[in-house]
Amino acid sequence: MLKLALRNILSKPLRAAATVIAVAVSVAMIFAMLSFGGAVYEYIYSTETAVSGNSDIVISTNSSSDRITQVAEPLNNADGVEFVCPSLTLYALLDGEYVQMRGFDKGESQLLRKFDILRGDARALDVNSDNIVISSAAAERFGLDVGSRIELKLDRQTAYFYVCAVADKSGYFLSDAPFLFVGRIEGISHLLANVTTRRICNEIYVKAAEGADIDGLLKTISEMDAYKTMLIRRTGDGGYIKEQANSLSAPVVLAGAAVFMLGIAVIVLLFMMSEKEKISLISKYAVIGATRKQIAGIFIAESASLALLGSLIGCGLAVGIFVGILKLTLSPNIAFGISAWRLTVAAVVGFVSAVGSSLLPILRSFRGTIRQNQLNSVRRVRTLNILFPVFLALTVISVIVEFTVAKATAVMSVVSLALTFAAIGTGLPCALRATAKPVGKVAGPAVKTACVNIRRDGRFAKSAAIMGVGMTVAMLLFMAWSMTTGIFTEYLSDFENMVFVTNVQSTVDASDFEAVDGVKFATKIVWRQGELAGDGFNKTMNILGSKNALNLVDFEFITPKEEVLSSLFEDKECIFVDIALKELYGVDKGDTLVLTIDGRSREFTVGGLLKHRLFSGNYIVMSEKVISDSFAVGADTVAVIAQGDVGNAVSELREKFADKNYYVVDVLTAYKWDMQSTNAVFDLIGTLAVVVTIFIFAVTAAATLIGRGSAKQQRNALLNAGMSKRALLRSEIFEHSVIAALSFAISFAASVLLTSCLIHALRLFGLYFEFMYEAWVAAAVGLAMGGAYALMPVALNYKKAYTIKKA
Amino acid sequence: MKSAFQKIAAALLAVLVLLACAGALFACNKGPSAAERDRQERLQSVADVKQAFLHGLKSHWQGNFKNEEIAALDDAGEYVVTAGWTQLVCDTLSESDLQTAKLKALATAMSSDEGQSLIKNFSANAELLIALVRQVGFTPTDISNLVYNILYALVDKGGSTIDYMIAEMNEIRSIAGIGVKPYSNLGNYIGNLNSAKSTYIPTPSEREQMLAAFSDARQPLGELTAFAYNTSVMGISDNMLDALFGGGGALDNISNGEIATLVDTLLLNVSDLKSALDDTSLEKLNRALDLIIKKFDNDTINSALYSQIVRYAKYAFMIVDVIPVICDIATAAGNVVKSDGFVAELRKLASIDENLNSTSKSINKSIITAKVLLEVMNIYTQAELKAIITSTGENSANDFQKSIPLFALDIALNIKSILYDFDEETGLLAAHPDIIDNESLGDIFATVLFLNPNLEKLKQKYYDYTVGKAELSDLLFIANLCSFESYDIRNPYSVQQTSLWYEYYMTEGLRKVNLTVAECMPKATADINEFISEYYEDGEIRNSLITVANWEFVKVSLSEDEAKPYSDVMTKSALPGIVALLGFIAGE
Repeated sequence: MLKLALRNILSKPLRAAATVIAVAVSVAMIFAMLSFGGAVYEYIYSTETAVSGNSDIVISTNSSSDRITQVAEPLNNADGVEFVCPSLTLYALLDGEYVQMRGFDKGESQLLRKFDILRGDARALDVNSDNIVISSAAAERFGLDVGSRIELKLDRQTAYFYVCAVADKSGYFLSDAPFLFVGRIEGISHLLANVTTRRICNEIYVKAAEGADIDGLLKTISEMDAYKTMLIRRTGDGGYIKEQANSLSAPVVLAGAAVFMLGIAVIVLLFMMSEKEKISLISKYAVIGATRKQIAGIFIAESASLALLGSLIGCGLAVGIFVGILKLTLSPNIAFGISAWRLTVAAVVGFVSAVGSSLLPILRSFRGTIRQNQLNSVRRVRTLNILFPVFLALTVISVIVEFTVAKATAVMSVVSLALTFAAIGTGLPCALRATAKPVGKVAGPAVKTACVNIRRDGRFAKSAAIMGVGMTVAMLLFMAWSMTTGIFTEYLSDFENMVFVTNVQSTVDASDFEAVDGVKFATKIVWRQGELAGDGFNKTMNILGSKNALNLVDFEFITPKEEVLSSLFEDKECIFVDIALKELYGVDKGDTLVLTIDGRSREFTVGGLLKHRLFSGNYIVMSEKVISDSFAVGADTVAVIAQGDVGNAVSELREKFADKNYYVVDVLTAYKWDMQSTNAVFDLIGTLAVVVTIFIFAVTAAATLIGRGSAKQQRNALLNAGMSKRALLRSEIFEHSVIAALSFAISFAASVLLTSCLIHALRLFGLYFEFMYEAWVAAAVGLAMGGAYALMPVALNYKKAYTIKKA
Repeated sequence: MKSAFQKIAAALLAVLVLLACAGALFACNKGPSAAERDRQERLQSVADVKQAFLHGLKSHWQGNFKNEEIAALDDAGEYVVTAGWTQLVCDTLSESDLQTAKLKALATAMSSDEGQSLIKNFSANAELLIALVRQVGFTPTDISNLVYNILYALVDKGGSTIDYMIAEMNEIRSIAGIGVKPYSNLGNYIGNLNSAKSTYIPTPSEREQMLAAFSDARQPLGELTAFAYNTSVMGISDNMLDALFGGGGALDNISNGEIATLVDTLLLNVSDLKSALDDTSLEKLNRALDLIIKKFDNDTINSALYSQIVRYAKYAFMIVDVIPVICDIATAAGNVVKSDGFVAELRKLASIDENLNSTSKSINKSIITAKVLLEVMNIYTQAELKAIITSTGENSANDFQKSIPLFALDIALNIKSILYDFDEETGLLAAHPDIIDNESLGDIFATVLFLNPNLEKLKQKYYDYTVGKAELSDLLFIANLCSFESYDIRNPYSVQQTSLWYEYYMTEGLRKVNLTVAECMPKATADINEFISEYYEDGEIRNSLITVANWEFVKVSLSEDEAKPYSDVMTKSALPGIVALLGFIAGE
């Protein structure tokens, strides 16, 4: 039985190879989509914890506390503490550009994270207190190398440092914006107050002992006199990181579900491509006396062998390509874990789909007699003719419910997505046949032949289904890319004339900043994060704590503007939130929500609703005084609106306040640094979209070729009947073109609906956005795929294989 | 088939040969490795340092003179000796952990106009070079390592350096056509070094003993040097008010808590120093410093660089015993300084200090000092303070250098009587004539203010004289400044018998000085202890101190007359002396 199965495989080596490759690619696609969210989380986690490393708690200074501290004795001896690692971070200017100086005590520079040294020797940090380790990116930017001497300025202080090693972008350097220079507290303290000392710091990282109660430790530390005014929090806030990773990966995860389904569908359709041939073969086995069991055994063995090989290669392909893409786009230095269960799921899904679908021709053959099977004349039930109207009707109903029942929008959007794909998958074959019929009547012989083939041969329907769904999935992936990038970056353009001045004390006078040339407006603001909880949600929000916050960007007022402004200026104890909260969770004016900042929680009434794309709607506007009174948190930033060139305003501010240790940076630059990790995720999504699209095209092409392989006799017959090779080629080009054109037309039209569904589905991830659609993106993807498909006969030189011989 | 295989093999072989050739070419063109480049840069930087130093000392000197060029110098001997010691230091620099870029920066700074000007006055103002190295960015650790390494090299390689210098000078002297002046100058220096050689070059056992002592003392010596460099040169003592409240900086608008943190971290440095200088470490350090001074300070090694090294070693030797006490006092003072109340007072002062005249500033400084002193005195009991003074006195009774801290304190406490109660008929009047007589007070005065600062100058002048750079009159003038007659030292030799005359002061003279110091020390400690008793028994000093501490800061510039009521009270409190002593310690 195995011998026969093997002979079958070897008798059509190209088809077998194409099948294996298609299964492998499908498995890889499934794995990539299953793993995407986890990889993004791993990356965000690594970058978010680049500074804090393996510590559990960080004690840091803030605008209302002292700016320096030291490790107090009680902390060293506190129960449950494995180690304490003080760190001093200052911003200094190198060649007029901010760099971040981070110092550790002698011998402690790698206590939190390890260096990945490319050149030099990091041990020299313990030899000279003015040695530093820099990243390769910083080395390139400033033209530095091991042994270089740099002059750093902070206000009136100047200090010299020496590069002892250049490290790769890993560990601390995953957060390398502005460029990070790691040295010793002893050396860096010289920039602070002309005093060289070892113990001064502005952050203390605490590693809890194995099994220690971290919450208890947090409480113990917060009760220590030395740290009462400091900010004490857990490092690597899992909740926030998960929220951020989910937000970034949500569109792709949703599109990934479609890829997942497509992967299965491709495998199923692939095995059905050669259905006719298989039924014919089955009839031959039956003639020579093979039992049904034996026949089933041969085909299962054959498909299982191909599926197993395809799944195994797919696993390798998945790990190699996916991890390669992650390393290429995110970071080459993060050890991304390969989830065994995800790999297993992808492989099993691929294998089971392949083996399962190989049974279909057998079951179908059992319905007819041997003679019928030999002639392929078993009457087929036109399932698609029934399924398409059903799916179409269901899609219409689902979409109507999605758009009309607000509470059901999110859930129904997913149903609509699935049904739309099903409708496309079932509708395209129908549309193909429907198109072929009238065209065949009016066209020339070649096209007429093609039209007849399209109507009679089921492989075209299958190719069209794969092509149509594949193209739509590809469009959706690219829309997800475009959407993610838009969601997280477009609002930044509203900040193009804004400058942040941080590292200020809460007592600073904003009018001093307004007196600077090029400054139109300045206001003190509490610009930080907090947790907002309400009925059914708990989100990390960006707080804009200033009564002048509404002058900084153009908010749309859902609640009347006068009402909002009067509440803010009267320092009423209320908060203003984005309409997104209303859309997602039904939050409305007058509701009570709980805001938590630095571990302190207070209830606030929602004073009104605003609308802006800022932070994807995750913002709160409130009075600075209310924050200060409620949380003892003072203004930590001065937000400045520049008049004219923002660069000039930044220069003027830096010059005017050169004697202060203010950190003056235009917001776009600050967010460019802040968005570094997010941008890497955008790159990942883009690369994945490209790769998956190539995969989709590859499996579509493979499926088409497999199907075409079973029609060789038919082509020979046409040639023998006198059809010229050129006419045959024209006929095949037409077959491809009509599939490509129909797929494009339907996919392009459906992409509008699917994008809308995708945006609605994002609500399941706590993201609310208004409809956005980039038609050119969908068109470009569709045209590229369609064009490539239409040109396949020429590109693969079908003509060369045309041979005239008796069938 | 075989032929095809051979063709493939031949092709592969050809490719391999080509690759090998390309690799070899690449290797040939690669140039020196990074380590080799660094080594070469380091050697060049050190050579530049030598050049800058020698050229700075004398503009006609160059660091890379050939023997023929040296032979043309009138001061050829001086050049060889200076270049020899400079090379010893430069070798130490080269072998140190200092970064190559830092050495390069040092060379650049020394070659600059400012650097050259500082080097020109090196003998008189060696400490000014510290400002230069600070500007270059030397850290306290750099300095402490360098000091240790240079002292170590002095013991380890000093002898071979002298041998080398003598050999080189002899070689230069033998150059045909050498001028009379260079020949004679070389002769002077050869003689000088030959006479020094027998006592200078340690025997193998001495050398072993000294190097072992150095190794033992490395940690305390390092801590001491680093602390001294950090706090006196880099620290806030330069201008504390400006540093803390001058506005701007990373700690603009510094808060009380931030001041407390800063002071705390500085105090941790102090406590580190104290921990490093426990009894055992002190003993090791004393032993090492004593060996240096005994070995290297008795002979006629004529070099500005060399003598400055020995001079700083002697400073360390002088104060090392009292450092733990100073640390305790600094810690106590620091605890006062960081208190909220005191910081508030400092803030007030900072806001008004800038526009005041020196009289008013001086009064305000005394007010601060009084506040700190009162707090410090509250930390110790009377018995504790007396015990510290007595023990310090006992430890420093046999060496005039070690006596300086306590003698200076005694003078500071007696300043009122010395300045204001001076009686022309009886001469100096001690505050406690029953404890310390005028003669002893005079000896103490002479030791601190005349002998201590001038003895080094006398040595340098004698060295200069031996090589023809000073006159006998110069020697006599400096010897008079040393005030030897205060110790009843009558030199039996005339200055014309220069060598004997000088040797007498350095041996018999110093012996008598030490005898006098030993006699005076118990009186000085008793005198200081009496001041302490008076203070704790609510005497005039304490009451005046409390009065001064309670004054409001002076907010306007006062004339001398307007300041008189202030100065009258301050005089009674012994504050002028203490302020002067603190100023002396701070290098003002």
